[in-house]
Amino acid sequence: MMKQKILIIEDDRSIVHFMKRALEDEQYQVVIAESARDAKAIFLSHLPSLVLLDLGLPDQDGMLLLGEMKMQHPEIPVIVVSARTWEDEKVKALDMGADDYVAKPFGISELKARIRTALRHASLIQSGTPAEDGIFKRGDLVLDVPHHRVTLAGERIHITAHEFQILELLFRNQGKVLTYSYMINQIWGSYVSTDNQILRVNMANIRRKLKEDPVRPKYIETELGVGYRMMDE
Amino acid sequence: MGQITSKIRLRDAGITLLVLFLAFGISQLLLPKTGVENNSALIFAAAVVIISSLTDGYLYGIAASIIGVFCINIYFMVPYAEFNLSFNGYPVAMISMLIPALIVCALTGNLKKHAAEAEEREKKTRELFEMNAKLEKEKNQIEIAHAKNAVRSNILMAVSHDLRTPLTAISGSASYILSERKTEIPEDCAKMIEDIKTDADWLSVMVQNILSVTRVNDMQKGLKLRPEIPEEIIGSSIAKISRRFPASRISFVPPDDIVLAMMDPLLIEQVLINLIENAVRHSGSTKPIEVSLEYEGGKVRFLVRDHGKGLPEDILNQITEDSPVMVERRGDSIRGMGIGLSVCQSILKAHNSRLYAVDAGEGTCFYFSLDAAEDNIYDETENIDH
Repeated sequence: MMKQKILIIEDDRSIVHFMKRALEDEQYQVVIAESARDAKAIFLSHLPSLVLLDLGLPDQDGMLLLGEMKMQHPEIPVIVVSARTWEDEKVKALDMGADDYVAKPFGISELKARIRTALRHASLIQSGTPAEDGIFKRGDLVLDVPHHRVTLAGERIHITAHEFQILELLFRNQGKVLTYSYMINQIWGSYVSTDNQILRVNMANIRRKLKEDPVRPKYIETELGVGYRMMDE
Repeated sequence: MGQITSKIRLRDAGITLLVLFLAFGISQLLLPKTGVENNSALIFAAAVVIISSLTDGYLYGIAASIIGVFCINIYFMVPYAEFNLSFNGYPVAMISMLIPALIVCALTGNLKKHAAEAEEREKKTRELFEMNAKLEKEKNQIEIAHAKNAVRSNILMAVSHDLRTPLTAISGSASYILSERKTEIPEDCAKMIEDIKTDADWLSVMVQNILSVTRVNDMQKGLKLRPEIPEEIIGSSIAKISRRFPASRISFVPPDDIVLAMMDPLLIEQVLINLIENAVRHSGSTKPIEVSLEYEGGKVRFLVRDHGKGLPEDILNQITEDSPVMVERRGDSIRGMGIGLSVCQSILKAHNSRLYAVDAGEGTCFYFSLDAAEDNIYDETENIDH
């Protein structure tokens, strides 16, 4: 099998060094770009399987580069790696098409997990719709779309129409962070104000019905200030 | 005020007497030279004009003109030194002295009023000008202070961001060695690399603390608080602590009710991380740390309780009195505790709240309250029924 190629766009050599080693250990082929200019050329010539993008580049705002890459090849997943902390930055990157966001500093196992998820998600999309039969599973949780049924460890749980839609949306994007505004738009339509209280309360109800432990969730992860993610691995 | 008017009256009376006395003297001097057809009436008329113009109001002018008329009658008309009522036209003379006195009084009164108004106006203009200059100066000082603050805040933010990059490399490289190559290195070296990672991660939390404070300070118009689910914030902060301190035991049972609280989620997460981390690192107890939520009267209360040895007394007092926790160095064993707590205090202050700490007998209980969101309860009962 051909090695999957990962493009790392990062201008700090120490970070590049350990990321490259860790990813090569995982049998990925790694290419490096230390500036936005190099990145554009390498991106188009190598067409990597995945891009790791640092937003703080010496010659261009990483956000612009993200927009350009997503315009040219929307199918190539991009994981943003950034030292910027606040949630508005994350939301902006995700809304611009980033597939995931990893905040510095990060652990190597966290980064590898995110890469696997993004690659799997991308290949599922390329090979057709995920879960064609409309039955999604994670652990004990099963969402049966054709029968409008949710079961937990084989036992039917009663949920509202909106709660069902939220679960389906999360399952269809398993592993990906969905921002509050994206989810609200998908489920309630754009007429609902920016107030995301209704989504948050629905989510709190879903979690109670799924008996989620808020500290160690088994199904749905919270990205504070950003959105929710149906866990993958 | 009364003192000033009586002073003015005394002065006016003095002026009146002095001028009348002068007029009398001049008339006396002129009398031998001019004889019966003397000019004393004119001299007294002039005196009345002068008095009216120099004094306040009508009183002194009128008084002077009456005295003048009597003086002329007594001293400067035949027979001299004698009051003669029989003199023909005396009332006419009296009136002819009074009328100019009244006219002059009225005119000078007007003039004085105008002059006083003009003076008042000028004074006000000057005051306005001075006030304006003062305000301008203060405005400049405030602007300079803001600019200084912004510069400081920007430097702090830039430095903190720049610290993150090497910290990522240090912590990431250490985590690579520990997770992928641990078997290749001696055990004691592996332990050292673990320490490198722990300290780099601790530094990252401190950088995050500094960034939190710059964020609080940057939002001059106040933070934008949003309704958030408290248990999501608590879950996320405990998860982060557990990743860094895998041996730590932290319990949290979410309440049955769903109440949203108004907050900046990442800043409140930082508060909880600091409180829980203090408990993990400094309480000296292995009993679980208990995090809990209480709802009461439109407030959501967050509690973090440990079963450790309790806070140093001075820090407990500072928190109880809501005075800033001193961040001075206290020895390496409780490194960062003061910084963490003082960051909690400034974040909570920006939420119109404050931090409390009570000695719980065994250990310490920290807590703070946030406003519950309005329209908190959503009732969505429509179920899928097939």
